[in-house]
Amino acid sequence: MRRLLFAAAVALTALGLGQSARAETRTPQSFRFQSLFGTYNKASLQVGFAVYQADCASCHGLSLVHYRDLAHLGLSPQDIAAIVSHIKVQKGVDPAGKPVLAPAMARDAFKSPFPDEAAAEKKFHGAIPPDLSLIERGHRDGADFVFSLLMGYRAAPPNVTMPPHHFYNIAYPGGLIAMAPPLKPGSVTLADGKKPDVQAMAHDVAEFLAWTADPTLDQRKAVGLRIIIFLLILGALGGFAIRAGRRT
Amino acid sequence: MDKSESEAAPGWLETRLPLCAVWRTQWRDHLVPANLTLVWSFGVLVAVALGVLTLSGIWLGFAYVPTTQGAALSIERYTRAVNFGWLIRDLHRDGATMLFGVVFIELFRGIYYGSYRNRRELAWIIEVVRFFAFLAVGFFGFAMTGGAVADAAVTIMAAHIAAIPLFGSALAHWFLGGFMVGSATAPRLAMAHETIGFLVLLIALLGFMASRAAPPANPDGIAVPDPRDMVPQSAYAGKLFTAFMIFALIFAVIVAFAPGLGQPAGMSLTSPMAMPVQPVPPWYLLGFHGLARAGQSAGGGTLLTVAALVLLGALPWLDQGIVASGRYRPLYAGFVIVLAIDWVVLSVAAAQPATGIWPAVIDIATIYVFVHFIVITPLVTMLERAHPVPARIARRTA
Ligand code: HEC
Repeated sequence: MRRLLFAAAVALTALGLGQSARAETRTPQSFRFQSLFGTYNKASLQVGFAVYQADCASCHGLSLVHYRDLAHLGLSPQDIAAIVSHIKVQKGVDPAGKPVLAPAMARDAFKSPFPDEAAAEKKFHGAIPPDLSLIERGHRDGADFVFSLLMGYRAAPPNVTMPPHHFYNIAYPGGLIAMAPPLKPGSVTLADGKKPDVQAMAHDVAEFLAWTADPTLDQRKAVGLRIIIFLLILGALGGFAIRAGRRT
Repeated sequence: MDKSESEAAPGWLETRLPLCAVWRTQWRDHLVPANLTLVWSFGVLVAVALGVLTLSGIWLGFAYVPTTQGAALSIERYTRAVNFGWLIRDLHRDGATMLFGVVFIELFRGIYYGSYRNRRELAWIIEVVRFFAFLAVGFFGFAMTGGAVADAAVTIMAAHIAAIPLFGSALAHWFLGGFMVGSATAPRLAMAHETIGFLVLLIALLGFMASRAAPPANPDGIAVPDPRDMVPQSAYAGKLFTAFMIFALIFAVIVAFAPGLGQPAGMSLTSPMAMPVQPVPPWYLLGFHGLARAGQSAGGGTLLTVAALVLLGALPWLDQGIVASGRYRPLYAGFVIVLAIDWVVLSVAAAQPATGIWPAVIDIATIYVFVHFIVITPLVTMLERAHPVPARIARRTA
């Protein structure tokens, strides 16, 4: 039986290795949270949020994220209150049927840039800017992909005919994307007055979108580690107790 | 507890509901062979996994909204908005992985040691039925999470059901609540998942009873062990503890560092980027996915999957040898190991797109599954020279 388990494990590992060798490689970027015990970098997340607000929010929604969730990035309730006070969202309609706009509340979900998909589709000639909440879900290299995409704009090679409203991007499957290069140098200012370069902005917004896709990663790793340590101690104590019991 | 004390004077409750007697007869004084190994604790681990799944499932059920839009969204919101919602969700999702890990090893334990021999046919058949029910619950659980991948899987499953002769198309229609996946489908998937999920507990109980009624299986395959080689089940408390700790540790590592291991990304809200080209089910269904793909058509796939399960249940009749345990049947043991590897290969191949060598790998691995049961098992039983089985238990473990 031991041989049986061992053989199955060996087969599984061999096949797994073959798999990962085939996985396509993308521009490597260092994201601390991708390592086994790594957590998010709160400073990066805050800058990433600022980049999102400045350069992405006009086209992409984040429907699964609420303003109150920004507390996880280390923002204080006052910071969050200041942020939402500038954001006008629709709160019902007036008797004449016109939408009523009011400042957002911390408990509101992030504001959607378009009332519906049709409006977005019309504006982008058939393309739809997807909701970004889960864009990095399910891909270990999700943040790497977004980073590469944002840094992947190039002049189209001469043999490629560009359809209208499209841009050439080496990271996008097929190379043609309906999104104009979104990052504007200087669109965010850090607390110390410096303006991050485009590469730093791409990195931080990629990390921010990793957080929107998996906001409980930090807690999961911390709680998980504690449970594992607890189990190890319990196992050792139990083992000793059983040994001692057997001897007597 | 002291024997005289617990048996002295049954109290009011005990005379009406003999719970202490169950504890006594099924655990403290229940005699089992003295050579059981760690894998013999897996029955208890199945019970632990089922407990975790049932409890976490009830909590997820509070949040789950069985609609086309709500299926994926409701659980996604639950994991974000509720304290430790992610933990409940991963105890459930990864709990399924733990359950199937244990169940697969338990099944191979049965095949390897011939645990279906010796008046244990019915216990074995119930174990196979229970396995089938687990697979069904697993499939419905995956299907009810919504999203494009799950919907594609439901559509394919409906085609497989429709291929059943006579009542297949009516059944498929009932399963979908219409001619295709629609607003009527999600509530059905959820109800099926929960109903069969609770039914499994009953099947497991029946299996336990059947298994206790027959002479105990053991790694030496000794049909009726010498009374001197029997020990009370409670002598295995240490082994049980070890097995449980290993189980809990692996579980914790998966939940903390690899949540959703082996389960497709499409189980959650689908994003265009996360959409695989072809729907791939969770890992524990992959082997059967492979059998279904080898069937070429919906009907062929249904036939092969059902046939494989029936053959598994028919093992007591396919394998008629005198010696039960793989310990004394080197040739048979070797073939069981090949079967285990074959199943892993089949599972991995079934997750690949239908290009290159993969379809051929699926076909060969599928053929081997059937060859193992129909040809190898009866033939080996006839031809092999088994080692002599000792009359007494050779190596005591408790
Ligand atoms: C002017 C509107 C606009 C802005 C601003 C914008 N995007 Fe986009 N984005 C689009 C459109 C339109 C698409 C769809 C492209 C397509 O389908 O070819 C898209 C696609 C994407 C995708 C690819 C999704 C997929 O399907 O793989 C990502 C990732 C993305 N955007 C991220 C961002 C980020 C990050 C920002 C901010 C730095 C941003 N976008 C800013 C319009 C925009």
